[in-house]
This record gives sequence, structure tokens and C-alpha cells, in this order.
Amino acid sequence: MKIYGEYIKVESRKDEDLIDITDLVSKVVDRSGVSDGIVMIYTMHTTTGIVVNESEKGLTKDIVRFLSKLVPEDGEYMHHHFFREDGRMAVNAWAHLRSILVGMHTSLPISKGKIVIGTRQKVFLIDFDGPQTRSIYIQVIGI
Amino acid sequence: MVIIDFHVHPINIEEIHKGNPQMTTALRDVYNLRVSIQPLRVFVDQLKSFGVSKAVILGLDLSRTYGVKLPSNEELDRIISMHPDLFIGLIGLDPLRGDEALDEIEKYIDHRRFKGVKLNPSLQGFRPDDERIYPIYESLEDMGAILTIHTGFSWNIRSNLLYSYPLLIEPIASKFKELRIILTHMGWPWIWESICLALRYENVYLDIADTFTGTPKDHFKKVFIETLGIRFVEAFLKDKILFGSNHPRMESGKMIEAIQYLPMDSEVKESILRLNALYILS
Repeated sequence: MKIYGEYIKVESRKDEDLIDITDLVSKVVDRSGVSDGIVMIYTMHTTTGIVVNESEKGLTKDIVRFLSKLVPEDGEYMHHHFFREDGRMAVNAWAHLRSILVGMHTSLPISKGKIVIGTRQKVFLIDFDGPQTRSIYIQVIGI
Repeated sequence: MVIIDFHVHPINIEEIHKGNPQMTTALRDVYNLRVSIQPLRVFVDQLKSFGVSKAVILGLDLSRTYGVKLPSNEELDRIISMHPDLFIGLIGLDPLRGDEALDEIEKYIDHRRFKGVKLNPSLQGFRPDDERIYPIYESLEDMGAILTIHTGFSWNIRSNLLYSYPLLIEPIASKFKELRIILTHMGWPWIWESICLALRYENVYLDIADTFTGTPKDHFKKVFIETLGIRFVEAFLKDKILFGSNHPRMESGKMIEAIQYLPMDSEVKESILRLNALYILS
């Protein structure tokens, strides 16, 4: 049994951005040397999420719009107060809540050294409070 | 709309932190800040995505009070050189360092890349009306430079709040009538004192950087609607208010959105977000 882990960094370009990280995940699996097993993709940030879905321009907009309707920015959130630990006002409760809805990690099977993924499936990091540089931890477990 | 952010601290830029471990510690010690360090490229993308076409980046010389510059003028210069169309600098200096401070003004202020000075009396430990500092103000006035000076609240409990009381600026506004003075944060919570000076003196302006009472939308609602009243702002302060974010304490995008959200005349919003800054920078 082998366990291999790597941090990767990605940059979001908009306040809400979906970034296709499928190729980055595949490269980590290649580097791990694991032939059969599982890969876990885990975002290190509480205002981001990891999802598997289709990379289609209209759909990626729909995802952002739908989540914005579910958790609007203009809600009254208890999180919005001065956060002494960060030295700044917390103003992004909606980004945290959207992150909870989509989840912060996903797992994919690995077979014959490749991730098992549908032709229309892509792995996305969703940044709900960009643009920023974001860290993702990818762990590969297998033989 | 082209937007000018008049209040940006370039202190979470990776290029500045590299080889400068003091910076990260200083962010905590001075500003109590815990923010992620971002490459300059990402910061530039951020500003552009928010519609900011000019950002006034601020230096701050805290070498006497905290043993650090946040950042130094050399570092500001380096950042401006990388994006001269985007950044304009206000240098940091210690006004109690007499000739050395005057030399910094001579060295950097060229009306192209550097247009003035940023001072923070609370953090730098001086009274702004201390007459020992007057040669600095005089030099800035002679050069046609800008003075952005911190007024109002500070989260740093080691800083002296009294020194950021807006009315301490009155003798300077009165004596140096050609010196364009920008009072930061509208002097919050001493907003009316700051407005007194802005109304009384042609050379005094107010920036609206940062939020102190909730989200940017919450804060602007409290300040512009509940405290001042939109009609008063439109009629009396249209030419006096400058947009500023106080990045990285608050992102430009969220502040811009909050301004756009106000039930305020669109021409006044344009003055705040762009025209007043263009006038001062020219």
C-alpha cells in the first residue's frame, strides 16, 4: 500500500470562479506511481468547494447563479462582525455557506494508473470569494 | 466605469514578502492582520476584475515605533515599476526625522510615479499638529504633492487614538492652503469632525476606506443613509469624497459594490469612484 500526497496551487480570476483542475489531479496521480486505488482532492479553504461536473460554459454560470440564489449576499449573517483573529471585518458568510453546500472534497477511483472519470466529468475547484491563490491537497492511496 | 482606489496597502504581496521575513510578523504586530500572501500577478488581476484602473499604493515608515517599513519606498518603487499604468505611490516617511524625511520627499516625489506622502500619526507616534513637522508639510505644499493622513479608528491597541482625531489636522489645513490633504476613513467614528474640515477648507478631502460597522453595504448604509443622509452627501460632499478600499483589510470589489448599491445620484457615485481622484491626482 502506498500513500502519496501533494499540495497544488490554483488561481481564481473572478469573485466566483470555477477552475477545472482535472489535469492537475491526473498529474499528481501519475507522479504517485499508484496503479490501482483512490485519489482524494481536498480544498484547504472554507470559502471554496470541490465538485465533479460538466465543463460547459452555460452550466458553470448556472452553478454560480443557483448557489447565489440559495445563499444570497444580502442576507443578515451573524458572521459579519470584526474578526479580531484576522484583524479585519468578516463579510463573506455567504461564501462559507455555499462552500458547505457543495462540499470541500471529492474522491475518484484510480485504475491502471489513471483516474476513472466519465467523458463529461471534470473536477472543479469553485472559489466563492476570489480572485485569490488557493491551495488544494491531493492524496493518492493504493498499490 | 473606470475606478480609482485611493487607499491600497500592498502588504500581502508575495514579491515584497520574499526575503523579508519581518513583513509577515509585522502584519500581525502592527495591523493584527492574518491574510493570505498573494503573488503580485493575482493582486493585479483582482483589481482589474473589480474595474479598478488606478490604485494608489501606500508606504508607511514605522521604523521608529515598530522597527519596520510597511512597505519601504524602495519596495513601493519596485511594484510601481512592474505596473506603472496601474499603480501610483504615496511614500512613507517618518516626519520626526527632519532632513532625512525631506530627502525622501526630494528623492521620490516626481509627480509621475509618486505623488505624495502617507502618514499615520497613531502608528507612527506623533501629533500631526506638532510644529516640528511643519517643514514637511511646507515641502509637500511647495512641490504640489498630496498628503494622505490617517484619521479615525485603529484596531491596534498600541496606537494612540488621540493622534488620529481629525480636528488635529485643522492647523495644517489652515496654514498650508495649497496642500491637498486627504483624511482617511472619513475619520470614523469622528465623521462630523472630518466633514467640518472638508467643508471649511477647500484643500481637505475624505476617503471612505474600510468598513467598521459590518459589511461594506452595512457600513455605507449607516454612514451615508442613517448618519449623514443621502441628500446632504449629494449636495455638500459630492466633490470631497474619494473611493478607497483599505486593501487587504477589505477588498476593493466589495467596497465598490457597496457604493453602487447606495440610493445615490449616479453622478455623485462617479465623482466618488473616479472624478474626485482624477482631480486630485492631476
